[in-house]
Amino acid sequence: MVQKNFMIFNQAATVDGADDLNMYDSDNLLAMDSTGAGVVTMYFRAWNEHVDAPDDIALTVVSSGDDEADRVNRVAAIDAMVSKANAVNRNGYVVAWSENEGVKPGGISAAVPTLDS
Amino acid sequence: MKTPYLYFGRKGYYVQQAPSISSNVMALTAITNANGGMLPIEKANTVDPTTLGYRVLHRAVDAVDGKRGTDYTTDFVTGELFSSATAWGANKNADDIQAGQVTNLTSVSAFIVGSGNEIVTVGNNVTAGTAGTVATGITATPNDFFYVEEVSFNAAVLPINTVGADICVPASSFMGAEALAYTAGSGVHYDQTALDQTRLYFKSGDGYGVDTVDILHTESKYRELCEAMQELCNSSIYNEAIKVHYLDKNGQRVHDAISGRGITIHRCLITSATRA
Repeated sequence: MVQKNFMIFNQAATVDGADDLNMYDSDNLLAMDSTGAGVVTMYFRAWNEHVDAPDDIALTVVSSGDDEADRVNRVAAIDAMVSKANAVNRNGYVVAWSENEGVKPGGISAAVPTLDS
Repeated sequence: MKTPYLYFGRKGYYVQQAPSISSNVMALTAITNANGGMLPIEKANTVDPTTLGYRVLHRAVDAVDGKRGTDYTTDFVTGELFSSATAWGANKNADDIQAGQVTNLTSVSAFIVGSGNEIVTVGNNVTAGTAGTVATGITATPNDFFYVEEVSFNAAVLPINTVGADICVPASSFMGAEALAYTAGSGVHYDQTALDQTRLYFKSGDGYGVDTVDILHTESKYRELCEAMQELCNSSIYNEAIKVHYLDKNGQRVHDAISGRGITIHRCLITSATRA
């Protein structure tokens, strides 16, 4: 049996358009890294299957101006997404981050996708 | 599929043979992410080096009298006084440099870093020059070495929050490791222990590239590092990233799987595939 974990990212209160709600197989989570004082970027294998660029989800965390505090915030966001990626839900997808459901782990205040095209 | 995730944070380390003296200073080669794993920002000759999260050290190969700034009295590695009558094989004054001595250039005007060029310029111990004085400079011979070693998370050394600063990758993407040659500084740390280097490969998801983490570490620890990676990849920690290596404001953090095997990490160089 294949055991799959799908991660939902719901970034808009009204879900009726592009990038309002995206779902990714956690097996396709390629990496995460810091890309700004208050930003961690998640890289997923792109839906279009292009091999030269992933789909990105930019996670926003508090950027306080204190470099060490910001570093801790980014690592907390990474930890939260690792936990979500590994939280196999037998009854359906795992809500990684959701505006509608108020699921905002790891101090993440926004999860903004940029899809490869 | 559950998989542990491995988190690596960058650590810089750069060494080179002393450059020739020009206008009373010695300008090192520009430090890059590729050759040093860090980008030190501009530093004026009024900025205290002990606030920067990195240090600049001089390792003497040759013995030369009267060439060390008078601010420096103690060997950085051994803690012995430079003026010790018994520690160095010759009874010399503190400003006399003897082979093997390591000087931590902690004085404010000891060195500068250019704006946007990542060039560390060390002053010799004369009265003129953009860096260095009789008290704060050091005059190196061409056989000596300078080390630039990052020791804590500090905005004076970039990148701290952009690509290359850190990376978290699934253990399932770990493809393997290879030993790399390391010859900078004659392959020797400033404490005169030998160093080796290992490259860890991770699938990047980019069809044309991989993510790599190059670890500069204690000599002859390649097998132990491979063993540590095996242990980390087979761990059952799923609710947070496994912190393999990183710097915080207080210093270096290394996972027990590595440090417990007698491996000291001197540099952690993260090179991500271009994801665009």
